[in-house]
Amino acid sequence: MSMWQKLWRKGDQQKDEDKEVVEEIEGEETCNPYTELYFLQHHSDIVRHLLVIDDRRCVSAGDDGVVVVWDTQLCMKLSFFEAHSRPITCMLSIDGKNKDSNLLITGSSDKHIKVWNIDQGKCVQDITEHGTSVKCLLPVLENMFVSAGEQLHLWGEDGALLDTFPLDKQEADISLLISTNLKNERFVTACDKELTVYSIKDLLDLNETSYRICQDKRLPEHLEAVRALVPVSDKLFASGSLDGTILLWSSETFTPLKKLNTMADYKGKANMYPYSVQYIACENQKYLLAAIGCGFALFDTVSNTLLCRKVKAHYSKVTQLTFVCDGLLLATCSEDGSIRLWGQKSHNPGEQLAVKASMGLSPIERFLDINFGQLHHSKSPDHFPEPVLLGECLGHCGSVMRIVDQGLEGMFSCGGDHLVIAWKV
Amino acid sequence: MMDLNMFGADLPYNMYIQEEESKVNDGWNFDLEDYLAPHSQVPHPWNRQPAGETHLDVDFILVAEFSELEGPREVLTIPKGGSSNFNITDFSVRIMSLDHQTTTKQGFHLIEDSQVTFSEIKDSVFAFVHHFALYDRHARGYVRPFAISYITPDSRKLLQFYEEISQQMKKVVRYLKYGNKLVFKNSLEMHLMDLHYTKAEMLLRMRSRKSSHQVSDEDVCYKNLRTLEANITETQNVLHTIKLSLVDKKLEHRFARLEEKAKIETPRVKSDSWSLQEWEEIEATYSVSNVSGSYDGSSLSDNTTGWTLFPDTRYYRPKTVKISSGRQFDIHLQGLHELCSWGHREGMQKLRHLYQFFKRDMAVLQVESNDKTFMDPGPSALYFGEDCIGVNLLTGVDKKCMGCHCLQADIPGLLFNKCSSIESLSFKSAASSFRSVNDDDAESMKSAISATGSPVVNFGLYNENDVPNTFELEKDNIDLYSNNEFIRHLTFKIQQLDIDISKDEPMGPIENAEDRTTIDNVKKFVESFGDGNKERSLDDVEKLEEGNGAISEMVVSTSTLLGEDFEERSSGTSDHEDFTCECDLSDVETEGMRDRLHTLTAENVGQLEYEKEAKNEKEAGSIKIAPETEKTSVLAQSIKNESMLERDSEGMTSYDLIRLNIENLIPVDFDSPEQESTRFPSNADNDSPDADNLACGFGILHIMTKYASIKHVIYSILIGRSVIVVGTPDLEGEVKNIVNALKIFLTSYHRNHRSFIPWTKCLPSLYKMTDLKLVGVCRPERKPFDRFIPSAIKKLCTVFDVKRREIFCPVYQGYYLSLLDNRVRNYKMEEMLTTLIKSIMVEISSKAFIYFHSFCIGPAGVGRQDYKFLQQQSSSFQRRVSNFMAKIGVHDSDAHIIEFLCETIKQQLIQDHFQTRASVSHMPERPLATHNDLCCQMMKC
Repeated sequence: MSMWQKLWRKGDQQKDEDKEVVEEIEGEETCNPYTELYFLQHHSDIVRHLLVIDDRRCVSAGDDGVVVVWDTQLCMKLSFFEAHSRPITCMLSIDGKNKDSNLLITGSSDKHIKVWNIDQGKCVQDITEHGTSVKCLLPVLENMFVSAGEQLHLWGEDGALLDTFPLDKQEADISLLISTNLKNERFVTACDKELTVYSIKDLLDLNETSYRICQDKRLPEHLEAVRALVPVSDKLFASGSLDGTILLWSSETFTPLKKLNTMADYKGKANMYPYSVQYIACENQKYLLAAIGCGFALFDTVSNTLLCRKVKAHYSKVTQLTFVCDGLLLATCSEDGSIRLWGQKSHNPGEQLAVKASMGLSPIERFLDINFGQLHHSKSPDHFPEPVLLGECLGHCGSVMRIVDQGLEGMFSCGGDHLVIAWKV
Repeated sequence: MMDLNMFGADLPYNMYIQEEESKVNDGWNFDLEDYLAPHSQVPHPWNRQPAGETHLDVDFILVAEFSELEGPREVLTIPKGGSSNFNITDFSVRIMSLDHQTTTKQGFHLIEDSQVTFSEIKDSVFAFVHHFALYDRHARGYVRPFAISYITPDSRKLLQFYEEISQQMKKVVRYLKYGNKLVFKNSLEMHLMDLHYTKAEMLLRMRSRKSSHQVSDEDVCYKNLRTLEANITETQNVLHTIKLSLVDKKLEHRFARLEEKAKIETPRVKSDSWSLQEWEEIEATYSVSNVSGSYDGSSLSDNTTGWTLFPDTRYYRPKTVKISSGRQFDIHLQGLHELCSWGHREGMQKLRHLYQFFKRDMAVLQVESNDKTFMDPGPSALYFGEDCIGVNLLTGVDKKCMGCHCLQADIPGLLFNKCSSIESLSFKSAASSFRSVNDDDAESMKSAISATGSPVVNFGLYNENDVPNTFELEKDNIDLYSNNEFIRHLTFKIQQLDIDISKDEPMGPIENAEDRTTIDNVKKFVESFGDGNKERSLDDVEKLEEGNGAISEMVVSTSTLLGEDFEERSSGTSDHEDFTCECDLSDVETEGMRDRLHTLTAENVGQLEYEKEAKNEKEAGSIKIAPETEKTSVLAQSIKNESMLERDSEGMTSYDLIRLNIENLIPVDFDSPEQESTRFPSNADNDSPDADNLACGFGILHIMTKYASIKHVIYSILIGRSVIVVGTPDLEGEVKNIVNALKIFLTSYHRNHRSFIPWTKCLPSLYKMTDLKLVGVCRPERKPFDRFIPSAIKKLCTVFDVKRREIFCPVYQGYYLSLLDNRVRNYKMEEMLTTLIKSIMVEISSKAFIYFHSFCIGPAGVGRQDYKFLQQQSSSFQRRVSNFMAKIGVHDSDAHIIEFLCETIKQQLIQDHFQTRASVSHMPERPLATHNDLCCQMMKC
């Protein structure tokens, strides 16, 4: 049993013993910087995706098939596209040909892939050859992208179909895609429990180059469906699954390197999967932030340690987490409709944060209140106390789907109540 | 001259006109029968005078009809008789000939309206004509064409106000047409029942006679039956078309409400109370049996049921109708009032308002339309509740323009009296002020205008002249104003200040202590403003409270202007001072006030002080006391009333007593529900008329005495935190009262979009809370409070649970509201409390003014856009804010109020910026501010 398991187990036991309750915040929230809410309303169904375009704009998309471009500074609606007739499942922002325009690619379960020019606010391309519901999109090589779902396609930058990979299994439904190296020629797909590695080969004919998707390797299966897939570094990527396991894979040999956070009784009561991994974010090509069940954890992939964690952070499953305010705070959003801000406890929080802020540290350092030098030398995982709830952002009346940090413009969140909320500092 | 040949029916008229044209100069020399010879003083329809003069000397409105019996005819004119030198009959012909309604459609269909302008340049007659059709079962093709025309000798009026006239005409016609449609529908329904009844009877007769009668007779019967069938189908078709077009539920409700009201006042319905003059003009008298069968309703008199727009068809007893395939043209056609029922009343009222508004001189209209742009409070005006302007921050005012006319007329409205200035400016409200006034009695109209021109502190009795006599008697009854100590204290203050400010000033005799208070306040304010660090003493505040609202407003207005023109005080300010006081005081007083302010703003205060004193000596007796005394006498009277009432009705609650008192005080025309509905046209229909009648802030005394911790709720409102008053269905009245009382504190009160809902069945979603600041919500009995209010709402809004008497809100720790809270017990009269509240608001606003100008747009500076320093910045900024606040004497929670007020101004400026620039169509969202630094607590009240 690894140290992880021990730690997690210990937490479990504690939880069982004293029925750990979800922390509540009372009174003044001196560390909560978000003092203004802007309700951005346009969507008529659940808003599932938020994407930052640049420091002035972000894009939201949802089940109503509408894409809305928001000005994040003034919180104004810039434009909207009645993009699809069915829910939008994935979005991808790429640079245009001339690098002077922003293109947005949307995939939807209405089997269309559409390319939008955000600056001009119009549809550039409508690709219908995908044939099945589009689940995920990934940019590969230069100006090409892969779309996946029940089929796997490679598209050129002008929307031309370059290659289709025949998926052998009938039920195959790729839900996640990541590229694993810098050149973007190799990518990993997650299909239920299974991870598969593909690569794009360019075949040089006499006059022209053609591209083909080749299957490289099938990776050992997870116990349950893979819910999160994230590249960590050039040599490493991570996958998390419903049973709570986070696997670290080598991007070179495609063998599992480490197994984090394995649970014996992962199904929990009434198959609720209380430890399921909903989301993994990577920081500094080294640290993994994972939304696990109703809590979250921060792992170090190099030293293979659990840096800190909070088992019960929310009343319901955490859907996403991200550092906000340059890492001064960690924001987690959950199906319980709240966004919570976490940080380190200190007696004089304002002052402490001010001191920390002035030191030019990275988000991880700020969050843990320690610099990397110290971090590498400290061996004891007990060094880091449980993060403390510093603020709660209540505004959504349904589950919060996504949060994005928009730097100085604050934080944006979207949720099941059809709203996008801008949280302004 | 227009060619009228196309109009065959009017040949006689046509000939008449042409003939006369040729002979107008030589007169009639033929021997004719008396009746054929034209009358020697035939008023000519068109102007035959040299150019520039016209016979048509006043505007008037003409409603004309193209009668199928008589041809074009006038139905009525406003004013009665129209213009004296004008042949209305001829003009009707002309107007009705303008309508070119041609249609190719078969069968019954709805006819669209058309609007045309009609000009006869030679004769200087110009008309705006709105053609429309009303439906009448007895008319040909069910249709009777009508036209309303606005006739004026001034063409510019029509050009300039085309849009407005067109809009208003449409509104008038909307009433008429909808009323008519309802009447038509009813009449058709009844007719249909009659037809069915006749058919049934006929079948019965046929069956019984079948054996005995001849075949030919039977033939006739069958023919009749066929005709009957055809009639039924036709009526059904028409009914179907009409029913489809009856979609304006709002208007229907309005008519229903009028009818309800009329039923209550049945005995007086037809008399003067409804002021339907035209009813008498119309020759035909209405009779129920004429129109339809009779009602069975035994409880209701025939008269009432006959009038109803919403009859219960169950009580209708059908009758047999005479079967004829053709139409009869000898029957009487219904008058306009019969055709439109309540629509006629409403439409005519509107038409009269339209006339009253547009009949005025072109110049007046133009000036008003210019001024109307300033009607709404400027973006930099801070206002509370319905009628209290705290301060004008004067951010967007162009200094160069300050002296010009338009602003002179405008700014008093902004500064002081939102209501009164609006009333006189807009068409809509002008109309409402003319409401209960008949066309003819201009006298009463004048008084109505002056009544609405009452100042902010809404006693509405400023202009009565008989009051000062009674004052001496009443004076002793009132503690507040005869408080010798208070006056002595003030005198002392005055002396002190006079020494401070102008040591070389020769001291004039102090005639009137109250008067001096004003001056002192102004002086003091000038002083404290000039020296930012100097704290204003609390005495000052107290003085403001002890005095009346007018005084405190004077202070603030002066200060605002001083603030704007601080540097150039000597040059241009005197002008503004002039008009700032104009609106608040009656004409006579203005002179005095103006002079005094003149002196104050001038550089050499000391020197001019003497002149002012001299003037005061002259005026003190007659003028200065007037506003004070009137108010006090009113108060005294109401106190008397109250004590009387207390004796009379022991069972009554204090709330009822106050209400009774208020009702006694409020002028009659103020009670009219329409006045309210024009003020809030958007959703007035949704609210109970009860709540609409109440003045803003009504019941505040009761609420403040009943709920101990209410000041915390008020604090929430004043820091922009939405307040949700939750009550179970049985507490509806109480919740409404609370909302109504607390709305006096709302800073975002606007005539068109309300920031409050007195009572709603479901909790509004959170994003609506950016606009809604005060909501009364019904909580179902079975749903527990904690589950009813989601945590997000609880965090972002203040929740007041009336049932359990609990408030969950940030705690107030400050001076102003505590002061208010402490003083509530001293007040027995609500007006006094509202005045106190307003004075406190004005006081707070004045602080906000200083904060805004001296800090927000001054040393507050621009934050550095960097997270690294975010926390530092924010904490250092907070320190600077609190330091500054301390300097101007604002502490603790009051600082949050001031900050919010300034934020409100900023928000209004942003809004204005986007609204006035058409190129920027999208306005940024309004934020909902959260207060993380405030600790919410549950407390009992």
